[in-house]
Amino acid sequence: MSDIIAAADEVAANKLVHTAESTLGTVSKSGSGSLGPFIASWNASASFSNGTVDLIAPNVVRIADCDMNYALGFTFSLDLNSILPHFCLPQVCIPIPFNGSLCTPKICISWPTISIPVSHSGVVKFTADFSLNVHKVGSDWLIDIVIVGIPLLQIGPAAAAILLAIGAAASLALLIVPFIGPFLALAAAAITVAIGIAGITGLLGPILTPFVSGLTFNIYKQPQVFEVLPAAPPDAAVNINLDVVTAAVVSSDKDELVLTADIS
Amino acid sequence: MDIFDSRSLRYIDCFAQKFSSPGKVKYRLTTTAGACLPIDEDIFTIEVIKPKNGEKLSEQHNIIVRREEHRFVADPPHLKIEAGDMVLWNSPDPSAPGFVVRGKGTDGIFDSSALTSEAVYTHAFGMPGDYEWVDANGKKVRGVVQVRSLDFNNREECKKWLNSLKSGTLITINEDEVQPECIEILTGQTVFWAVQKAAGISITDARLPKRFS
Repeated sequence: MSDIIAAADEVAANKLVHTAESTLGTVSKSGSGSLGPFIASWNASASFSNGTVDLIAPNVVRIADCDMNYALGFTFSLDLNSILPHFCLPQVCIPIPFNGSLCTPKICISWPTISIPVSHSGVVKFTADFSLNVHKVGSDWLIDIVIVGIPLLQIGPAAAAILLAIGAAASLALLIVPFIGPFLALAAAAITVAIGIAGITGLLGPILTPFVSGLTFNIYKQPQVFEVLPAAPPDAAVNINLDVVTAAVVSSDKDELVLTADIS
Repeated sequence: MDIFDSRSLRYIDCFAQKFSSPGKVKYRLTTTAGACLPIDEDIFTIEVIKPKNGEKLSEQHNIIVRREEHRFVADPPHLKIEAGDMVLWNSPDPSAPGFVVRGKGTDGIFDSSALTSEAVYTHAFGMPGDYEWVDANGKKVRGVVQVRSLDFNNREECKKWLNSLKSGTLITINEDEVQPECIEILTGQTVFWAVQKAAGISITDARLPKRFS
């Protein structure tokens, strides 16, 4: 029989998990990846909120409909020569006062490489099972829940929104390209077609998945040495030592998260 | 917005100079920053001879400016023309830095960054907007180029635009007189500033620094 037993039902477990989500805060990552035929450098941040806890004996904490709130910014470079036609200004001749006429040579336009910045934020819901992990770090006992496997992220709607955002950003970036005139509208369309939904999901999946892969929430933290009575001179403080801590999901008349501790 | 400056010729700019008197012309091509360098080094030449047929029509000769090993070169490096002909310089290389043409001959000094007489600067405007131009060397000449864009949502407008690119607009400068002071053109069209006589002016986008320090 353990010296200390504490139990949290699903209502209390929900509070523990939501507190843990807040404590985890915002996590940031950056990198680069393929965006269709282009290479994009990106930075992303994510935080977690909500979700409903379901305790499943003996060791599963299931969180349903957890929100991953993400903000994503990425930039990709585009050599406009790859989508715009070869185009030359024709020779222009004009009479001038001190010489019959003067003609400019045909001038072929060199399209620049432009940088297209895109930002997007959204929410992806997922449901995942977490396992309990009790361990000691330094002088603290920690009870974590660690995601099992990699949940399926529904990024289809986000991909469609990002493709629209790319179209808008491309139009804006193209507006300042000299001589683009009649090629502007089709150039923006050509960029979004070249990337496509597949290009977005190809970028978004590898960006968002690492945020949930190995996702760990710390739901409880307790110093190993636990003061039960403060010092009251001439008596010294009375401490107990948590020698062993365990956690499990126990199913009786209701499902509970049960923590036990042996003390000395 | 577009930027233009006869002190820094780019691939969408041209500089032309008429040579009226026979003799030898020496010139050099430098970056804008090298405008103060002497003309006698790194020179290219133009030999201006008397016209063979008396009263003849002026001819135009084009010199292509290239960038080779961090210096500009003229192609051809040596040119033979008849008095009264015009020579036009242009670099087709969009990556080349802005350049200046400076030289001296029997008619005196000519300089794309300080236009004096019978010289032309051209610029093709790539972006819509209102562009005020001034003389960065401090004279009073100035004007405005209003560049408009067509509605490109139909093919007819596109055809109209492509046809419009074949015609240019002339601005003449004689001493302090500019004709016309304000012009309206379409995106992609070319403006010719023809300087009949002036005291070393530049054609410079008013947003740029007025003088080199």
